Amino acid sequence: MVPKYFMAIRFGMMSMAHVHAEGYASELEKKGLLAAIYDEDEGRGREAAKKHGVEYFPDLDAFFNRVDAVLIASPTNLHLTYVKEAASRGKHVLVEKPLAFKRAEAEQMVSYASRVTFGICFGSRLSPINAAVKGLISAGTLGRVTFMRIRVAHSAALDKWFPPGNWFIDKGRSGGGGLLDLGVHGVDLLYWLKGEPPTSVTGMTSRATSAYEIDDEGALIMAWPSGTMGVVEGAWTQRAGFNFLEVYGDLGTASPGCLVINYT
Amino acid sequence: MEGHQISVIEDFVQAVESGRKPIAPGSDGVVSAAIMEAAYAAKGIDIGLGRDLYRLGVSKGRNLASRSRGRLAHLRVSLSSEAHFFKMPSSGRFLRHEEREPFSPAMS
Repeated sequence: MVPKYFMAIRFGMMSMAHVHAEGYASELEKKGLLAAIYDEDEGRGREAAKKHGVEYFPDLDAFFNRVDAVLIASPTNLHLTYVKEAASRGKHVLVEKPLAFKRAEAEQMVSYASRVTFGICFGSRLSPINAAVKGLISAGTLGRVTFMRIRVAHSAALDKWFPPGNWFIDKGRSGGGGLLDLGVHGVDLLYWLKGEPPTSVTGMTSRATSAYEIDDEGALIMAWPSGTMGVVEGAWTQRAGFNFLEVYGDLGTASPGCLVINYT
Repeated sequence: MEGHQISVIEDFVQAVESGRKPIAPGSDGVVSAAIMEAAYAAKGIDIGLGRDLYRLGVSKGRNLASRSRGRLAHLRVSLSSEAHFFKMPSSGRFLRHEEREPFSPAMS
């Protein structure tokens, strides 16, 4: 019997629509894990399949016969359909962030995928420095966490990265603009660091550049029952800067690159 | 391909092989979806100053900026300078960004 860890998982890309899809497909190809591509845009799917040396399947049944797991990199509004299609066939599912724009849709996906391995591409949790900050919190080194703040931003609106018609700037397909696209990293990271979901949220968005018909910057505030607050800034309107993370506790402060403990 | 995207794939493969949950399990997507849904639904409170400034005799922002251009420019420079330095507890001295340990929070 072949040991389980020697069994290669055959991945299929479901859609190449996301800006990260090409990177994922390349990495899967490099690891010898990419087996097939399906795409709601046949031309795009065939082109990607040719580039990565795998077969394009316009038919979902044929596609799923070729794979053990899927990486969904579609417009966000298709996540629910694709998770259902894959999980109902027993395929493991990895989905690009954000999982959904509506809580109800996310809950449906969790229900569909209850019998398979189901993950989201929140790479921030895998950053060693973020893991170190979580370790400091868990160990009590920072004391009781009172406030957290994170900024995640780039210049997608300033530099008009998305052409007219692109799904990222179509609220019906993306669910939201700069705050959702980038702020969701911060939202997930602060939730993960805290170890429990906040219970209260407020926020604001704006169209600071008017480049798109969707928000290009925003901020939200989360509150936990313990009194901890978290601020997340997500924007496509900032040309340069550092994606700061700051965690303040009553014994110290952790900010990657500037760790301060027991400092008053 | 950025490092965090490679890590996501490797973690997921290990999760499938071992039967454990990924570091970011799909169920946690419910939390971020609920937070984002609430944030987008929230409405700012119009405090009315945009309409009532003249009636109250308060200068509009651009007029204030125009009259105070010199002071504002000075303030901006000062803030910018301070924002790019960090005081380190070990030495008590300020470090420039360039002197700090490079950090990429692995987000895009």
